[in-house]
Amino acid sequence: MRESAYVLARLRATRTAPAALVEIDGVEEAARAAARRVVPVAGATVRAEVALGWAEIAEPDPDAAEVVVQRLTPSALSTLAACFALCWPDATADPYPGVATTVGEVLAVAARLNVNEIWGKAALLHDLPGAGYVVIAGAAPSAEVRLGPAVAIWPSGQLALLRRAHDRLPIDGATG
Amino acid sequence: MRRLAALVAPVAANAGAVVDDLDLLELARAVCDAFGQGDSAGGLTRMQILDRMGPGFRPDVVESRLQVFEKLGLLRPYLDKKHQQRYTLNPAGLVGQQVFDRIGERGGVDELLALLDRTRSLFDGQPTSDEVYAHLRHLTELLSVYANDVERLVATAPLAELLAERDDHDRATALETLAAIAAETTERFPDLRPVATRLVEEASRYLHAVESLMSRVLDEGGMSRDFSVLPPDDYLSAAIGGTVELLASALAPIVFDPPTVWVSAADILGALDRTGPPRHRVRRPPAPPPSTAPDPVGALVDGARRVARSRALRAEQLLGGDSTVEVTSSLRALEWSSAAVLLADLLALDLDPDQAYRLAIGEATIIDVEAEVTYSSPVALHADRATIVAPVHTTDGASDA
Repeated sequence: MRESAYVLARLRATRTAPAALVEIDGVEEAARAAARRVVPVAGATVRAEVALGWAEIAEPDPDAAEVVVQRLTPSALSTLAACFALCWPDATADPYPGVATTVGEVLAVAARLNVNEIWGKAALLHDLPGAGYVVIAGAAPSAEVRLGPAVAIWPSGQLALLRRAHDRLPIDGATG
Repeated sequence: MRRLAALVAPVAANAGAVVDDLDLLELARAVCDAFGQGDSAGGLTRMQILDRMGPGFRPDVVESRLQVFEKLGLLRPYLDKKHQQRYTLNPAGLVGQQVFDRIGERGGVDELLALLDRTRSLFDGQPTSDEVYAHLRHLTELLSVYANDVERLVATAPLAELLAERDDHDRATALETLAAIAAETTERFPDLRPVATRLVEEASRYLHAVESLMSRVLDEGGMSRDFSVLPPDDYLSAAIGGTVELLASALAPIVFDPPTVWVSAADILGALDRTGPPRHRVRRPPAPPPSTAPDPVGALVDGARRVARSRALRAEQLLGGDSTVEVTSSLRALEWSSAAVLLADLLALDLDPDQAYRLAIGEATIIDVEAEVTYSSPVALHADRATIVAPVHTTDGASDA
């Protein structure tokens, strides 16, 4: 098997990989052939990394019968909305990498969205980092929170939709 | 077919004497079956054989095979005449057919096991030394041949051939009883010890060869990720009996996608819609104190009950204790307005299903120009009860309560 196939497999399994790997010949072509695209994710780490997203118009339909995806619970979705509100203040910019916030601030905004503190903490420290939507660095409650690589590879259609409704995100206590 | 060729090799005239087409073996089986079904007394004609063989055989092929069968004596003419067209089946050919079937399917390991069984049962009686020697030698020869063949397979055969042979040798564990036979032999016939030792040596060589075959099948099957190498039962027992670490090790080199958590913009906006700012909760107003005003429905029910009771009393007054009374005269004696009220009350009693009074109005019309009630009809009141006997008054004035 060619090395590019191993790099793609590694990207699929680990979500992110050092950017130097993509410089191997044929990785970008192999990704394109698999209807994927390689997205740079500088993120919180110093080292440049890449993630593997879906190519435009090749995103799977999560409602199709043969596509199995996990869904977040309502409280986790509200917590993610709080993260978007705090880490993505400028709608004209891309949400990724965004700005950093803290666990305490996210939980405070989530509480205004009627999220139980225990559930909000579980979502922020476990569910969302596990899914790659949030990156946590440091120890709670002053730990740094950033949007994760899953946001970087978010389909552009979804991003455009959320950008149009950016004013509904709970910024400065407003909840749309 | 390879095995069948080996089977007939001792009697073959040349290397092309054995058919190499499995369909022809099927044809021979169908010919033999034709004589087994239905009435074949007096032999069968070629047409009858062809008819009983069923569809799927080309007539010209059948014809040429029938000629071969006749020539070799599998089919024998019923009468020894030229152009005799009725045939019977040679029993030796039928037995041969069954042998071919069995060897074709099982490769002959069955024969080895059957011989083993016969040798074991030999010791149930009083065998002579020569008998035991003959059996042991025969077993040793067979085992030696099988061991050589399996060793050849392990060394050279491709995986597909190994898989086919593996099924033939999967009962090789039955040979473990062979040790008991060897022990019995050395005990009863000490002079046969060298023969028994040779037998055990050949058996262990055969078993070792079978083990090598199995491990080569497992190794090459595992390398090729061919899940059909093992029977489904083996996978099931591995799933039940294996530890998590052991089962996981089989998938260690496999790369998995992490679970995909799908979040759409609509999901996030929907979560905002659901949660929103704290809403004012609508509370149920406190229950009002119980009303002290009179109950209008209860008053109506009470009133109706009172009216019904006064009507019943009026009826009892008219009946005077009897169960039936003629009320025509009473009605005619009243003023017309009072007579109308009384008649209406009695009719209401009659209509009330709770009251035991019935009113009978006759068809005759009584006209009295003198009285207030000018027109009337005979009216009889009936109570559904026995006549009430009036209490008897004693002389001292005390009533019979």
